[in-house]
Amino acid sequence: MKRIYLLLVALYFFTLQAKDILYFAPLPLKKGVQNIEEFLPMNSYLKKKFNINIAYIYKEDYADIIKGFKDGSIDIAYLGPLPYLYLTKHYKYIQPIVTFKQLDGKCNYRCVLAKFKDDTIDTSQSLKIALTQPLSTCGYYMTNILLKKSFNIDLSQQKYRYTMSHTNALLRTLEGEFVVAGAKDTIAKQYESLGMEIIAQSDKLPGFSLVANTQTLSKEEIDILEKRLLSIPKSIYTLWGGIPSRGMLKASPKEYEKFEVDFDTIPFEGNM
Amino acid sequence: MKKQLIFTALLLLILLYIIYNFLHKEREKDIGNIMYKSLQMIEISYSSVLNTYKISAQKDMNYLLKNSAIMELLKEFKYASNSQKNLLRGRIYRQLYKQYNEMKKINIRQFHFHTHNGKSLLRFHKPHRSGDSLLRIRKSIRVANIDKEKISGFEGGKIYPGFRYVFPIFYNKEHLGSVEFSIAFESIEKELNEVLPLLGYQLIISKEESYDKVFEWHKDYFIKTALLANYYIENPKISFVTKKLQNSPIAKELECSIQKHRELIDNQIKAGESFSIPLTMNQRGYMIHFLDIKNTENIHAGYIVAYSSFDELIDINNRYRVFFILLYTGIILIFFLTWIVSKQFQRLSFQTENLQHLLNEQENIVLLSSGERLTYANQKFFDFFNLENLDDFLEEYQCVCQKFIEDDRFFHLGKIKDTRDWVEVVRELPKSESIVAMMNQNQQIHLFSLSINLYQNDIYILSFSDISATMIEQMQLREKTLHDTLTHTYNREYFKQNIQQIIIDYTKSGNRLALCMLDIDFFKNVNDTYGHDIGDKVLIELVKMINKFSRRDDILIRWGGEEFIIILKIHSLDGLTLALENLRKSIAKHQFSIDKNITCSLGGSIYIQGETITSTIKRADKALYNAKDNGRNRVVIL
Repeated sequence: MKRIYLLLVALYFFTLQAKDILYFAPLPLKKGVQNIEEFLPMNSYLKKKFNINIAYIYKEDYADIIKGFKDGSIDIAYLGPLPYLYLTKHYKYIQPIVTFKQLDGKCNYRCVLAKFKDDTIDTSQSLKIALTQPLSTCGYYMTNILLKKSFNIDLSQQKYRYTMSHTNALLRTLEGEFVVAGAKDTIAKQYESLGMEIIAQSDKLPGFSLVANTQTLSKEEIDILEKRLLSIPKSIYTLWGGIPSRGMLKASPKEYEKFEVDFDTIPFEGNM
Repeated sequence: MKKQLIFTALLLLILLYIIYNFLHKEREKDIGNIMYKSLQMIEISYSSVLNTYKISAQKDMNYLLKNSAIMELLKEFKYASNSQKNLLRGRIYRQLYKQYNEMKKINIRQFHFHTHNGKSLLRFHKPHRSGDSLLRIRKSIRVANIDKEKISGFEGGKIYPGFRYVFPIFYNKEHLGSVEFSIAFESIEKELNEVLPLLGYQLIISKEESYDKVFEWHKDYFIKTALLANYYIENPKISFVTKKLQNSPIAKELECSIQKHRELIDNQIKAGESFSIPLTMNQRGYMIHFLDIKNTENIHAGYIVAYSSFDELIDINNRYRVFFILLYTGIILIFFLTWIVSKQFQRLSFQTENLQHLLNEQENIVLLSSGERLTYANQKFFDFFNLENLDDFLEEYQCVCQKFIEDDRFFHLGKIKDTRDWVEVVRELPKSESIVAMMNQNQQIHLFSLSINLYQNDIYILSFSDISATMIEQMQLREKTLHDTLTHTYNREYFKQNIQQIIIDYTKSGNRLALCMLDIDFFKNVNDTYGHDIGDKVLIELVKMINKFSRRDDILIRWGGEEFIIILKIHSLDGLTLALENLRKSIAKHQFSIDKNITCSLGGSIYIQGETITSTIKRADKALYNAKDNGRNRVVIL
C-alpha cells in the first residue's frame, strides 16, 4: 500500500505540467559560452530525463540579471552570495533552490587571493589587482577584505580592474598583467597547475545557488525543479565536469542572512 | 487489327519508357556535372583554406623553434618534478599567451603543447586542463611523439575536434614533445564563406570521431544531427556555426527535404566519397554537398556540409520536361502517321496483290511498258516464254517487239518505215491489223491481237490476246469460201476477191495475164449415162489432170458446173496458145476412170491493160463458144 502511495506521488510529480521553457542566466561573463559549457551536461540531462527545456539568457553583468528578474525574462539564475543579497535588496520575489557542492562535498566556498609564483608583492608601490565583477562576492568586496586582513593593503589605494570573471582574473594575473587576482577558491585551485598560488583565503561563504524568480515560476514548479535537481544520482553528475559535477544541496535563505554588505562602498568601475 | 493496336500501344509504351529513362539519365548527368563542378569548387576552396592554415602553423612552429627561452622551458619541463612542472607550465603560458592571442585572431582555436610521452602539457584554450594522456585517442600525438614526424588533418579530441597541425619539437636534437595548432570548424567556415560564399556550411562528425572521443563531461558538446544518422554536430549552444544554421529557415527546410533522399544518401555514404544531393524547394533549386573529411588515420571522420543555391536545377528540370513532352508528342504523331501509312500500305498491298492476281488470272499477256522498256509482265508472259521473271527477259531483250515474227500477214518491226515508236504505230493501226506473231517456248507460233492503251504519262498497258485458234478457224473458213467444195479448186469468190491483185502482181512483174475458159465436152452425157456421182468423180479427176499438166503459176478456178477458168501468166499469145494446146491434148489423151476419153474445149483471151476483167472474161467465153461451135476439143483464142 505504501509503495502504491509512493508511486502515485511520483506519478503526480512527473505528470505535473511544468513551464515549457525555463530561462536561465548563468554567471554574467563576457564569454557566455564558457558558462554554458559548465551547465550543458546538467541541462541536457534535465531535458532528456524530465523534459525540462532550459534556454540560456546571456547577461554581461549582475545589474542586467536583476533587470531580467524584474522584467520577467529570467526564471532562474546562477548567483553567488553577494549578487543574491544585492538582488534581494532590489527585488523580493526570489527564492534560492539549490546550492552547488564544492570539491570537499560542502556547498560553502571561499574567496582567495592568488598570484603567480614568480611574481612578488611589492607593497612599496601600488599593486595591480585583477577583480571579477563589482557584484561578485570574490570581487571588490572580498578582495578588499582579504588584502586588508592578510597584507594590510587598502584596495581602494591600488590599481584594480574588473576582468568580469574569476577565470579572467586568474589568467590575466598568470599572464603578468596583474600581481594579484581575487577569485573563487575552486577556480583558483585549477590554476595551481599553471604555477598560480593562493596567498590568502576567506572564511567559508554560502555557496553559489540556483535562484528562482517566484514571479515567473509557481511554487509547484519551483518545488518540482528542486526535487528533480536533488534527485540526480551521483553516478550521473560526477560525469558532467564543471560546476554541477559535485552535486547539489537544498539552498537555505538563512545562510545569506548573516552576510552583511554595504553595497555603496563597492565601486562599479575599475581605476586602471 | 486489335492485336496490332495492342502491339503498337505496347511498343509505344516501351519506347516512351526507354526515352523517359534516357532523358532521366541525361538529366541526372547534367545535374551531376554541375554538382560535380560545384563540389570541386568547394574541395578546392577547402584545400586552399587548410593550406593557408598549414603555412600559418608552420610559421608559428618556426617561431617557436627559434625561441630558445621556450625551448629551454620545455627541456626543463621534460625532466622536472610534478610541482616544478606547474610553475614551468605557467612560465610557458606567460611567454606565449600573446602569440596565442594573435593566433586566435586568425582563428586558430587550439594551441596545445604535449609532453614527449603524449600527455597534455598545456592547452592555451583550456590552460587549467592538462596531464591527460592523448596517445590512445589521437593518432597525431602518436605520430609526433613516437614516429617523431609532423602530421596534419582532421581529428577528434577530448574537448574539441579540429583541423590539426601537429609538429614534433626537437631542441638540440632532443625530442621534447610536440605542439599542435588546431583550427575549429568555425574558422574554416568563416574562411570558406569568404573564399566561396554559399548559403551555409556545417561540419558533421562521425560518432567515433566526436562523441566517443570527448571527455565524458564534454559529451554534451555534441548533439545528433538531423541530416544523417550516427553523425554529430557541435552543440548550437557552444557553436556559432551550428546556431547560425539552426536559425536559417532555408537550411532547416533543406534538412527536412533531404530526408526524402535517405536511400540515396545511405548508398553514397557506403561509397565513402564526397557527394551532392540536388533538391527543389518552393520552386527553387538547391544543392547539399557532403565533402568527405578523413581523419589523420585516413578514416572517414565526417562531412563538411555545404548548402548552395542551384537555380539551374529548375531550368534543367523544365528543359527535360519540355524535351519529354516534345518527344512524347513526336512519337505519338510518328506512330499515328506510321499507323495510317501502314494501313494505306496494307490496303495498297492488298489491292496490288489482287491486281496481280487478277492480271495473272488473265488469259491475255499483259505488260506495262515505259517507252520501249518493259516494267511489268503478268504470269502468262512468263509462262509463254518460260521465264522466271522479267529480269531474265530483260537480260536478252529490251522490248517485247523484238519477239514479233517477221510475217507480212502480221505486224512486225520491219513494217515501220519511219523512225516512229512501234507503240505509236500499233495504236494507229485498225484492230484487224494489230496482230502480231510470237513463238513460244515450244517453238509454236501464236498469234496475238495487240491492244495498247495509255496508262499514265508514258506508261502503256500492252494486252496480247491470243487469237491463234480464232485465226486458224478464220483462215480455214476463208479457205472454204474461196474453194470449190468438190474439186477443191478456187471458186468464183476467190476470182472475185483476188483477180485485181493478180493483175497488179503480173503487170508489175512484166508478164501478161490471160484467161482460159475450159468446158468439158458433152459432160451432160456423162451425168446422164453414169449418174452425177460419177460425173463428180470425173470433175475431180479432171482437176487433178489440169493441175498435173498446167504450169506452176497457173490458177485453176471452178467457174460453175463443168466450166473452169484458168488464170495464166504469159509473155505472148503464142505462149498462151502453146500452153492451152498442151493442156487440151493432155486431157484428151488421159484415160479417165469411167473408161472413156473426155475432151475439153478451151477459149482464151489476154487481158488488155485498162479493160475490165469482165471484158476479158466475155472474150474468153466467146472464144469457148467458138471452140464448141467449131467441133469441140479445140482451143480458140480471141
